[in-house]
Amino acid sequence: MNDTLTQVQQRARAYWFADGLNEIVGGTFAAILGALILLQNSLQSAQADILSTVTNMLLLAGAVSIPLLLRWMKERVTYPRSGYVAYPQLKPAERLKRGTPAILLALALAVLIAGSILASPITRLWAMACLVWMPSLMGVLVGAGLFRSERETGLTRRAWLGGLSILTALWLGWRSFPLMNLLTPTLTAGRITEPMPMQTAAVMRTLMAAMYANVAFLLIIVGGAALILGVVARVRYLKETHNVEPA
Amino acid sequence: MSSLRDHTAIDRVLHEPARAVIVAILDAIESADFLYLQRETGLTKGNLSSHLAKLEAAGYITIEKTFRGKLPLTLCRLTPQGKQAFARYREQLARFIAGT
Repeated sequence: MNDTLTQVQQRARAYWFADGLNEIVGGTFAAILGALILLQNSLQSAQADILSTVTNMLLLAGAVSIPLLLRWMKERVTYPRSGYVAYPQLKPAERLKRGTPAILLALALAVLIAGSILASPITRLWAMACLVWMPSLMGVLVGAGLFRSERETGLTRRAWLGGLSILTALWLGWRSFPLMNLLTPTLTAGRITEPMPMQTAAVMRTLMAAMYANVAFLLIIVGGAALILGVVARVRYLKETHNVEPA
Repeated sequence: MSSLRDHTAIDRVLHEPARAVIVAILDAIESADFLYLQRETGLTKGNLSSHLAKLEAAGYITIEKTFRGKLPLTLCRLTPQGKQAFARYREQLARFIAGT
């Protein structure tokens, strides 16, 4: 009986994702953002700058509007069809507690990279290498978050997405290895206060382009998979609820 | 003998599968409407209403009739007393199963 009650509670927690809309909207947004970043990478300087501004605006608009859009869609489509559920709102202290590991990790990375840039020419090289590996780290963290979500909700598709995110992170890391050959000690030999040598600037541009490309691939692959899984979940949800009397 | 008395002293309001499921759902979330509870439990409207009335009479849930836009909504929420009763009920179940 206790196992049944646990499963029942898991289903209740998973209801927010049951209609597939979260994955459809989020996945579409991520894939479009990734495509824009990839396009930006391939354009000339002025056009790339314009597209970069558009991408940043889209990112900001998405961060604000996606939660509102989801809520609006659920009010119109999901709640009248299969019922309304409200979830507990976390208190600010609880939110801070949950976000603390991510905040600390971000701070630690920032301090590490800033410190590396200032410390010595060799550590500056390491900081340059980090640019390219950041998307891989992102992929691993996103994957870990998705696996945690699967444990809380029992939704297998979250585990599939988590696995895909980690595999993509590994692939991005593998394709970044050849770029490490560009990093030679002469790139960072001078003082940090001196103007950046042309060769160093060229390598930095190559690494930045590789970083953007890796972020784009991560967004397109995981976003695209989320969209597909969201559509499958949506079809299943519509089949399961097709004979329910409207509220 | 005292452990047998513990088992027979189980909360009879909650020790009914439908009501246990209803309370389990409400324990995991903030609130749910009638339609959601009906779908999840698979009960008929009359049956669900009856179980909700018993839970409300025991002080384990509150039932609020409100509106969401123009649509009427019957919202059910677990009370603190209901939360405690459910937690005690699960402990009793776990002890009973461990003892068998």
